[in-house]
Amino acid sequence: MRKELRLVIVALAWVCAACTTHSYTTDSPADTRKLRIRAGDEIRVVTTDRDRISFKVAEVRDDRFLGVTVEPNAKESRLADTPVEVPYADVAMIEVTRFDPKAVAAAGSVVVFTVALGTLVLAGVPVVVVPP
Amino acid sequence: MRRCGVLAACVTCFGCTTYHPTISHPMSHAVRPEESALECGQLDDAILKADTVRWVIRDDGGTLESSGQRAVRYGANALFAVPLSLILHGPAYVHEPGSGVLDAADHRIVGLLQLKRDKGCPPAPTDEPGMTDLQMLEVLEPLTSGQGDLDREALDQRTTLLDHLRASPPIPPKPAQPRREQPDPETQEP
Repeated sequence: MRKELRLVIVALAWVCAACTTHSYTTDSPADTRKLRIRAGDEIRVVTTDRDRISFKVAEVRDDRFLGVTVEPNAKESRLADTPVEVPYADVAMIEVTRFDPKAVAAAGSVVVFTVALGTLVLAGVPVVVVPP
Repeated sequence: MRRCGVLAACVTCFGCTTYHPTISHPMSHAVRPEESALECGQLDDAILKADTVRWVIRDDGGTLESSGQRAVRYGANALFAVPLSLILHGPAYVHEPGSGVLDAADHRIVGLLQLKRDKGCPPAPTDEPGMTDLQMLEVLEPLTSGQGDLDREALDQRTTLLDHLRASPPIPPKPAQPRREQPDPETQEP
């Protein structure tokens, strides 16, 4: 039971580590397009009219995002579940949180390395005596 | 126990900053060579976006730090961070007040304004009375020069000016209300 709990904690830590958050400034709509935001991504934007919005992207169009607001973060005024439409031209700052497969691999390597190192330290490093 | 309490109070006061980012602040990049090809309208858009990024940092409490203040912060952290963290069982150090990201945003805005002036673009109004953005640039240039270190007063002046770069939107006129006829006291019956 205790071992299973430990495994669940390690798995949760792994998944959390794989969720990466990046923040960008966008100088043009082309910059926003380059970020490859997809439907389902949860993003936070600050628009040029100083509006802060957190929303889940429902649709990515050529010139704008369509989505629905999530629970508002600090200094955000829109209530959750409000439909929003954000043209790329209005986006000054964007923060993206997404599940990153590369981060999964990186976090996995760290976990495997740490567990292996811990096992070696606790169980003792095998010493091979080479006869002269 | 009492000593720990005093130390904790000192750290709380000393490490107290008003800088609390509500969104991770990206470092604004300097003006790129390719941006010199931007048209006047595109430059105004770029200034608007850079100003928005700067506004977020300021709204989250970001301030510029003089080299003296930075030295005090480094010194305090070098001396007290480790012992206090051990006493308080958690990281205890004086945080950076957002100076790096704010300074980068300031420099980007000034760089874009310089491009605007070099291209002969028309000036835009600001929130500073009787001052356009290009007139503001003349005052800002010595306050953002990389040479020498700026004192607290110069940093405060730069911050105040750039806080007023964007002109407030005009107040929409109130819808005309139907005028109420004032009763004429002479014709009014008692």
